[in-house]
Amino acid sequence: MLSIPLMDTTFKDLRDYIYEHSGIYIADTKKYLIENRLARILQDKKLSSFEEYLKIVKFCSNGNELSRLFDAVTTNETYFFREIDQLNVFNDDLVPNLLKQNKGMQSLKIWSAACSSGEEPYSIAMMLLEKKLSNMHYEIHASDICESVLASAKKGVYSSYSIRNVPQPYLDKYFSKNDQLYNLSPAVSKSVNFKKINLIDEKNVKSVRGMDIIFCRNVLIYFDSKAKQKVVSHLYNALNPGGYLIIGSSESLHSVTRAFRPSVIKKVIIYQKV
Amino acid sequence: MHTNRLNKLLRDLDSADASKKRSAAEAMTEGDERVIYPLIKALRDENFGVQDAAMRSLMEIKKESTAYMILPLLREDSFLRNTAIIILKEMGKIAVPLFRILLTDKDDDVRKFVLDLIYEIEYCDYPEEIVAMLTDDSNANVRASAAKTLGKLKYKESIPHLEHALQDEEWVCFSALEALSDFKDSASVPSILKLLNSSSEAVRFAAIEALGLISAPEACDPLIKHMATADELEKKGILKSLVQIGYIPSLPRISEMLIEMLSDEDWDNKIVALKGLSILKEQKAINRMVDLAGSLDTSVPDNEEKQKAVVDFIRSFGCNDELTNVLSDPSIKFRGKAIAITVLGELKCFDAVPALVAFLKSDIRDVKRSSVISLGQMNSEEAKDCLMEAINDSDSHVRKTAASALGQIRDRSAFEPLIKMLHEEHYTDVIDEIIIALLMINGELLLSRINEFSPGIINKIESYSSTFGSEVSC
Repeated sequence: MLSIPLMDTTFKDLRDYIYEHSGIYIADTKKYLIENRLARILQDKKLSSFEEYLKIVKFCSNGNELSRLFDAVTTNETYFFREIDQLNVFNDDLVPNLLKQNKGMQSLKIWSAACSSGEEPYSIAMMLLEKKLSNMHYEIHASDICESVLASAKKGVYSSYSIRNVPQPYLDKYFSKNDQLYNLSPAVSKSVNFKKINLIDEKNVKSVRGMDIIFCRNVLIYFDSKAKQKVVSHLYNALNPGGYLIIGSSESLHSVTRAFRPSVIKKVIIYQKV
Repeated sequence: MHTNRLNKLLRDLDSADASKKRSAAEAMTEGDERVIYPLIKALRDENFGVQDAAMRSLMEIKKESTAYMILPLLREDSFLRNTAIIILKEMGKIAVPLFRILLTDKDDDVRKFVLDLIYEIEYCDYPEEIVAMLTDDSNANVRASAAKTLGKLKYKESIPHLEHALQDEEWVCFSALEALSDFKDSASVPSILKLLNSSSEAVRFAAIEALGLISAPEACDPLIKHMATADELEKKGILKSLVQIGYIPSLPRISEMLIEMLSDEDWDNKIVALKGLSILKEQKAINRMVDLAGSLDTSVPDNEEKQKAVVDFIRSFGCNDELTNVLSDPSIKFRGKAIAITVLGELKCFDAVPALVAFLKSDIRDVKRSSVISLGQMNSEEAKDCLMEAINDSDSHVRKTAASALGQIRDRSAFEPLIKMLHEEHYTDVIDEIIIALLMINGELLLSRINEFSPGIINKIESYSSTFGSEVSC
């Protein structure tokens, strides 16, 4: 691959553009990341400079290019049953709590707000399938800002890296192996609705309402404090009163919002809309 | 804001519906002085969401009058007081003149909160009054806050007073050390060194840390001397400070201590250890460094940057046997091995070629692909033969990487095998890479044989040749 230099001024223009459209903040120290990750796009598009690329993203794009740009600057690598303690609390505590609090609840709505290639919502789906909730309908919504990862999520085909934490009984029951790849069973894949949503865009997020549990893990780290506040406020509005927000275990809402009541369940921090 | 709209929002803010109240509080962010008091009242709402929205809106109305009306909340219960602190902090410089009168408030807490706010805002045009608090205030917590704040404000005239405060109560001493560390003034070193004789372990440790942060070379000898009587924790602190100063003494177990520090949970300590080991050029640490880089899960935010930092340190050692030995070490997992392979290639460590060639038979794609890239960077005869073999690999990712590597080294003997490959390849991304490689090796020859290919490939060749026209070798 030919190496194309990214000038500081162009880096700043790109960074500002990304921030304006996604809330994702890229620090100066991460210039090399942008340079590395966008080099492949430049090569594919046969462009000879980052300036040319920025022009295409800004002026000649139908939105796909912007989507590919977001795809490149975010870390989409994830895996099934990531941060299992949180998922166990979801399954063993939050779902039963909600059912207890809302006797006669007919439908449980869960949103995986930055689902990447689908490992998180599918992990949730498998757990709920195992739970066999009687008389209960549940909806799992999953969204991401990147179209390409959503397309990959819908396919439901995973590498051995993605499935490395899947417990054997789940692996046997919900996956079939095809060469080096693992195909997710339709029983799981059909239970998740995927949708492209930019969490910073209020209109976008308004399409999601009445959620009981929202997962938004390892996402806030990409945003600066203003954008974090905006995103968390959107998530708050999407939740039902009494609903729960789960963020990454290394993240905190401290200094972002005080709208939620934090509580610790089995060493996992959960935020509740009260 | 239009009066009708304001009245509607005020009505909504009084409604029984929490979501209506929250929306009204949110919308008041666009309001003027008329919304300040209703929003302050909403801070007491029983619903967290309404409280939060009111707080956010008050933060946005950055007017002196907002700050003035918020100040009395500093005397309220802890929730409202903390809310007031958050709002005033966000308001920044505009609120600072209003704090002045509170520096002499009767309430110790109010004086401390105001100093903490100035610390956060990092601005004050009456620092001499804070010096007076450091020296004269009756409350130790207030004196400690004054010390920290003077450091943050970088008010140099306060240095002698901060040095004097090192003899104050322990809590004030810690803050004075923090402030003196902020100044990074080597003139403070003698005063801080005196604390190494303190009877308090915590004070001794804080002094050691401060000396590291100031990074003055004159602290090295006294720190090394202190090591003889220091306990394990202090020894670790001394070592960390010496590395920060950039001086590693030739003392027994130094390398071992630094290697142990690589397992520390604190990332900053790991970086200090890496820096120290790099200064010592301690090759026996390479294995642990590679393991550390490989163990970082790059799907976790920031780990990519951390991994890059570790790899930079590994690279700073240059080619060495320990790095090559990592390839045959069964305790290193494949991600670590892939990193070692990449560094060996970047450094062009020719001694590693046989080991890299052996990896071309690996079942793990990442390892195989990294080996192909590294062999391509080596540009050795042995490497070329292996790359020619790799373009026939059953894994398309490996074929693609091998083609790219052959293009990079512009190996003319690869031209015909690549042409053959171009005729047979099905994957479009691999085809793209083959064309680029061929253009790099001999663009003119490729163009002269363009009619051998299908129209789709001809289009690609033409398009790439115009893009890389200036790069092709003819």
